[in-house]
Amino acid sequence: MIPHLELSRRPELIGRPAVVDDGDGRVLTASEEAAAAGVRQGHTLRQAEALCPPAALVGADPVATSRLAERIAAELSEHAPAVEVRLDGRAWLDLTGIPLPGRAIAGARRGLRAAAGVEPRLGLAPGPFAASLAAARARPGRLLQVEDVPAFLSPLPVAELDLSAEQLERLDLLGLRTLGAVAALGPRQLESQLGRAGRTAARLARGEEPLPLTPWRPLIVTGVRCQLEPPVEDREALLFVARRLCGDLAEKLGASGAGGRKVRVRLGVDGGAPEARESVVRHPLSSTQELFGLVSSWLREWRPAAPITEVTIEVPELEAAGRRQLRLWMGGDGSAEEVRAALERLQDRHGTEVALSVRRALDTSPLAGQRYRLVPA
Amino acid sequence: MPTEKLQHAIGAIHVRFGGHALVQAARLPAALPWPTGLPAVDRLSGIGGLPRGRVSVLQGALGSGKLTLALAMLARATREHTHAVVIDRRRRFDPWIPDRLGADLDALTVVRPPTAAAAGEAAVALARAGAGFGLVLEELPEPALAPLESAAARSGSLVLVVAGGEQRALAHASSLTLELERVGWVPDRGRHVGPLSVVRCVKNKLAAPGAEAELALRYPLGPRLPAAEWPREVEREPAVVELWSDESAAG
Amino acid sequence: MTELLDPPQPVEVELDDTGRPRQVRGAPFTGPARVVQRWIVEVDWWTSEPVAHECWLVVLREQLMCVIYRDRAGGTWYVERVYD
Repeated sequence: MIPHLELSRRPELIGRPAVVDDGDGRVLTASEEAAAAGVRQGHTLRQAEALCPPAALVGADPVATSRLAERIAAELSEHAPAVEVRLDGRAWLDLTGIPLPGRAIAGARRGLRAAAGVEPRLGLAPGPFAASLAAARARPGRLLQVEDVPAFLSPLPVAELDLSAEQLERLDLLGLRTLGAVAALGPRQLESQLGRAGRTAARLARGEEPLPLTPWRPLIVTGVRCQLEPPVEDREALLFVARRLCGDLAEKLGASGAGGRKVRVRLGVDGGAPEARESVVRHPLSSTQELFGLVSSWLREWRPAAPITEVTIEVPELEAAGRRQLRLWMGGDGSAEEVRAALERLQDRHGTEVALSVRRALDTSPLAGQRYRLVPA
Repeated sequence: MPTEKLQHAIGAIHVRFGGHALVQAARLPAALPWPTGLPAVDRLSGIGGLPRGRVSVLQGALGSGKLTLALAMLARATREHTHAVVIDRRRRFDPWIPDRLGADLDALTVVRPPTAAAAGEAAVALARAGAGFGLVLEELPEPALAPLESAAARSGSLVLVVAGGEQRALAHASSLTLELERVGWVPDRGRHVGPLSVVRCVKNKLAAPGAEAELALRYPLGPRLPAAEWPREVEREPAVVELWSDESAAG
Repeated sequence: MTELLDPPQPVEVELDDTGRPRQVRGAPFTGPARVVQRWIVEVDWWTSEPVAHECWLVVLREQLMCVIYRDRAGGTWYVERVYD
């Protein structure tokens, strides 16, 4: 657990009181120092200022924060295959089946420390709910391990449950102030009081962990867009832009080994409705030439109603680009030519002896050196 | 020759160009498996084989049997792909072993680069070109690893690197790392004929890591070896695999 | 699995009373040796370059299986093959 990512991505705020503005005049999150002065999520900015005058006020930037979450998730997934990262600074790794969990934990700690600039708090428990509560109670840079989950959860306040203010008030009226009390009442009773949320709350309080992680998957860029200012009428210029976009998209697809058989081009038209065209081809496209080959043929015929303000090129349904190679392997190998060419280029650079074929010589000889001859390929 | 007007338009676009929006996000489908012919090993990845289009790593101390395993996989690969390549910078590769394991030597090319940097470039170039199976017999320099990963993903090449110890950059680029540890010897008529090794999946981007198998590897001992059949698996807990089916290893 | 050292690496070998290798000296192969198998290779004896090797399969340091041989012509010992 590290500070809310809106704070984590601003290293200049480490150790200072700070308040993040959610864009609606309310506090999205407050740094530890500001929280110590009483600032809470949901307060108006004015309230926050009154409680903590020296607090720095920063605006939320969800896009930048999401990017940080992506980077953290990518780093953590080096240590465990199932990770989840949330914008509030909580992150989970599923260590089930990991042969060296200590190493994974140390790696995660390093990654989080690098991302946030502060020591993360770590919690280890059989499930995500208990683990995040353990982390919240750990000291920075330390790991709090929970073995007896019900005993750990029992004294904790009901505020730890993800319930609305009204629901928490209801619990208070019922005299339920700790997780232990909620657990004792049971899911059935809680459901009758608070509906589904109550049922889940009771199960969480009992340590049953009804909510699994939502494992992070890397985002693959499937489309690129370029806005044109001023709007473009010239077809050659449009083709130029499209070629650039195809190149960028191909690079991103290539890095993930992805391609697609459905290609869509959308043109934003000045003062009019956007125009689009899409098509499905026989095998997955992924290279610049393949994408531009298709897109340019459309653009050459296209007669948009007005100058173009925006070009979007998308490959909305991804497949592994390598699938195409499978068919080539079966026979009539296209890639055989490319491999031969690559070997020839190696020989041009380093001499013919760099790429060798194996020929049988005296293959029953007891002397290893006599059995085969390696000759230039 | 572009007209002045066009030049101007392109120039204006140059200035404002940039800033692609993330239009959509999607999940890449899982890697396709390549069965190694050794079901115990295939199970370790969770997908039924080594991942195509990805970098896999076999690591372990000298004598753990990792090279034996890699050469067995190479032998099979030569029978299934037009091009299987071995990057052998240290010039210690012996074709005899894959040959004994039934390799199709015509599909095999042995690449012997002069330097480590050249080895990295060769691996990337061949992966990019779509060589079906690439076996790299040593650690590659760090700058080659990320390009190798994307080259393999792009073409569907299966790249297998044999490494002595754990290398951080290689660990990062790997989608599947199997670690071998010799825990004993395989006895045969009072002699030790090969390592008894545990293979552990220590990193797995495709499924949960942590699976293990025990392999009984028989080395080809003595000066001559009768032709070996393809590996035969012995089903018992934990799975034991014998790479060699011949009984007499004596020369 | 097997790495062929080409050219083979010269090493020093100490024999026990029965003439079997007991200790090898020559990095990275230094250490006690346990013999597994022995055989003789004699080829090309009819040519001007006959090859006569006395080959031993040994386990070094209880860890590494390798083939060492003594060249009968010169008497030098070499490590020819390392098993992995």
